[in-house]
Amino acid sequence: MSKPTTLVQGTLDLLILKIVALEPQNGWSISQRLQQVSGEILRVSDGSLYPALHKLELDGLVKAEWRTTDNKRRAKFYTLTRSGKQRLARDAKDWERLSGAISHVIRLEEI
Amino acid sequence: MRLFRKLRALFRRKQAERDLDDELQYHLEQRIGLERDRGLSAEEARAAALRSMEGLSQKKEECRDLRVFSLLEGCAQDLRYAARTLSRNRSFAAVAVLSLALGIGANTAIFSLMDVLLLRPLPVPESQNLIRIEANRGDPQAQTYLTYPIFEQIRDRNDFLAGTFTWSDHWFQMLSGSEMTHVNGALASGDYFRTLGVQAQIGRVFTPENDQPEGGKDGPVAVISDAFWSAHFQRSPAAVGAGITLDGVRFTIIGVMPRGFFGADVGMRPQIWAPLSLAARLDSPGCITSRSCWWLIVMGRRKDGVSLQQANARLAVLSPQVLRDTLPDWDSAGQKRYLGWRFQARSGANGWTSLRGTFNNPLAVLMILVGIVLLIACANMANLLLARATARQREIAVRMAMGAGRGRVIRQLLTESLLLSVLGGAAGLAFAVWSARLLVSFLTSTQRLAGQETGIQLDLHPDWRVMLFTLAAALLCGLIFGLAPALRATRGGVNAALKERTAGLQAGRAGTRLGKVILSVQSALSVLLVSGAGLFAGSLWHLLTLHPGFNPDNVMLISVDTAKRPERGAALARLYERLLERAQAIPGVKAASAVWITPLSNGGWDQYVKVPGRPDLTQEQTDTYMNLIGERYFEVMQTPVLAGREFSAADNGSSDKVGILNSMAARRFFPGGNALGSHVEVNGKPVRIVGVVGNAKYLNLQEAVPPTLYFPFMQSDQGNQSMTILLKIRGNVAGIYPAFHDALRGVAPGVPIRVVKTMQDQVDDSLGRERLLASLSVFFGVLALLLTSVGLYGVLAYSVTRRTGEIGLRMALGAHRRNVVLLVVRGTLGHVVAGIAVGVMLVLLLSKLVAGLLYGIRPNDPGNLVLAVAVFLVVAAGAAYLPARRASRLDPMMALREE
Repeated sequence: MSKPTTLVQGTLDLLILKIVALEPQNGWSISQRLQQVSGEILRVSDGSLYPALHKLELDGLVKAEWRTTDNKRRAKFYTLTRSGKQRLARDAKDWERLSGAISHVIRLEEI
Repeated sequence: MRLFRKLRALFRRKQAERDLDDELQYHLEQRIGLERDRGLSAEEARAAALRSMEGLSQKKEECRDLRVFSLLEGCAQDLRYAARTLSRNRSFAAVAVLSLALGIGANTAIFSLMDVLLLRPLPVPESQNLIRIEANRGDPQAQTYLTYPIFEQIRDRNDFLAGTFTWSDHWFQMLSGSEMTHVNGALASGDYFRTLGVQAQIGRVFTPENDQPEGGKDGPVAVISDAFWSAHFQRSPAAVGAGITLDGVRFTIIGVMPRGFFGADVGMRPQIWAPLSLAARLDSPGCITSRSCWWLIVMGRRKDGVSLQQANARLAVLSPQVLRDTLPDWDSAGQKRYLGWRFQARSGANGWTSLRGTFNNPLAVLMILVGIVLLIACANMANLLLARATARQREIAVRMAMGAGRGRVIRQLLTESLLLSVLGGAAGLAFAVWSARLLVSFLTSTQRLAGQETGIQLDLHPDWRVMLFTLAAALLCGLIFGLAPALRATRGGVNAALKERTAGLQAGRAGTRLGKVILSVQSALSVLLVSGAGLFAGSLWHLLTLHPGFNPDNVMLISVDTAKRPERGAALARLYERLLERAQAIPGVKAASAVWITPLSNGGWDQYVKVPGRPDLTQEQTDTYMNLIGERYFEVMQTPVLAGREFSAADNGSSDKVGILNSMAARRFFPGGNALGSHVEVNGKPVRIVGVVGNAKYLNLQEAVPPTLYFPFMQSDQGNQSMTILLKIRGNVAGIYPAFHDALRGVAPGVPIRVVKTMQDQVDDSLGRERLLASLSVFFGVLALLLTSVGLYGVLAYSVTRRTGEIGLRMALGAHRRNVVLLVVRGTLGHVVAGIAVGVMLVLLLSKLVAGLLYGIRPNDPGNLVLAVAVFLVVAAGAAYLPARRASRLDPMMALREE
């Protein structure tokens, strides 16, 4: 198994926004989801997730509420806000442009 | 929005904290469940879960930092913690607070004086629109006092002022019981109150209607102060409409001014205001119409929309016409110069006071001196904090290891230093209120014998500006000088901090390097202050020990006021003669005489004289100071009569005009030594010289003795001057005053006594500025030495404590006591010496700035510099002695065991 890739600086917010956009999630499920969808490639330390989440909440990009989970436990669920949606759309576009450009450059080199 | 969310979080702190716990707890439990599913034991699963958090408490702290205005929340916590730590380290806290209190207190005291004299706006509506008008004579010193005709012209001709007013201090003579007393008051022009914008609290103020030579249709009216109302009318409303006799003129009181109103002269508290035009009937009859009587401060209020610049521009346009129409009766050269003057407007928002001119420069110098003291005090605090922070390295390390961020620890250390600063500031403010009073007593000399006040009163109640200044000084001090130690203590993070403790023998050295740099700065500043103190003290010493040309011992000065007597000319002279005869007979009086202008009163009368046969003398050289004196004047003053004689009873109105020259004038006018019997011309009239006397100081002690010509008052042209009686006495002053008072009542009933003091008082009073500078700079110098030695002691004592083990080891290996002392002192000595060198350079650079305030000593006087360095070295050695001795007396066994 190759080592999990560390995240490019600043992309954690984008990933969280994207995951939360699909459905309301709690911290634990966000971390699990992140690993799942990235095919275990992206690994976010459990600890780093929370400061990032709280910052997004403070910035008004996600909002949080306490709900009961499937296994009848109280957990904090995060939902995307309207400005969160806008930010996600913008950041995703930026990311695609950037990563597209980078892959392009890399392919050029391989030829 | 973000701010709102933060604020809300702040108020729901507990809830938020629980939520955070719950959220993370949930996550941990899920993780543990997952790990257990993978087959780990309960403990292993828990450990793995915590590991995956990468520091649970740090992440929590990160979340908290985000969440709350953790600044505020943390501050309260820090404050509690700081208070607890400080109360456990009382001696440290006491030293820090005390040095700050002295530093900040001294600054606040000087600042509160500056505030009163220079900064505080007049307590009248929209004082920012007030201007003061003065004449620019083309030299740096503007003419602040103007003539009444100038005031009238400016008042009537300008179109940019909403009101123009002027005033002059005036001592009113008032009959109180059967005694004539003096009441401090002012003569003010009609628009004075309206322009200042202040109404009477009961009754009304006077207006231009009342400002007429005979008082207008209401007759002479007066307005009284709140204090006068209390003292003389018990605050009865009947005061309005009551009559009062001032200077022999019957006035009707028409109003009482509100409490706290003092007009526009910051240093004065007038009790009575009367219309200026009545001056013609009061004491100064000639001045009101005179074009060469400079006695009035002119102020005005700008119209809305007229800026100070515009007012200045309009005044410049107005100047030539005003000057042309107010030409003084001077010679043609003087008139030509006069026409070149220009009137200019200054801001009058802060009112005016004669103290400004005298104390502007000394106050600026003092402000710099106290600023340096504050710097030293702050450096001291930095050093103390540094020593403490290093001693607390372990505590800090533990806190950082437990998850406190570096910023958090720095903030906590800063809170401690700020708490110290604020405590120091509060103590400093109390110290300042007390010491500022002391300062004022330097500024205003009280007339001791008669128990009369000079009339100068300053409101030193600390206002918001002073408070703000103190607060700013305290906070800046705490912030700047708390920051360095805090940064240093937390440098290198957790590992370095934990390791520090075990670093053994070398630890002491690097740890105090910053402390030593601070120490050299303190040394430099101390040397600067001590040598400054030396300069000012030296100046005062020179002035106190110089021989003024007369002997002030046992000479009593009594100023009488005969302006209200009907006698004039020869008759008045005879009245004084009779008074002197009676005074002479008082037991204890050796000799009595009289003088018009008391020496060293900064007042003078000078004129150009013509010396027949000496056309080579320039006008400048014939500028001669004059005075009117009585018989036996030089005997009373013990000024030697070098040739000829004193004036006698025969030198009276019916004999030839005679005069006595001082040797300065005699040598200049008659270099051949033939002054006696020669003539000089004054106002075109010949004066025969009958005597030559020794040089005596005239205006003040600082200025060189000018050429002086004395006249007998018996021959005075006008003969209406009020004289000062001089009594050379034997022994006790107290018994003589009542006897003189009786004599005065016998000769001229109703003549009031203005001032009673000794000639020594006169000498002392004339040195108020020098005394102020010398006393305070010495005080600050001592303070600087004290603070620096505390700092030096602290650094050394601390390094001895830190190096106990090393010293013990060296001693166990055979090091001699002397070597140990050297070891302790050596590291610091270099820094102190470097500091002294810098200090000496600073002195050489900066002392030129105060050259104008020195007398008889050069700013870079080498003796003074050597003395300053020597004093500093002695004090520094004293401070170093204690810790060094302690080190040399260490018991090696004990020391090693301790390590």
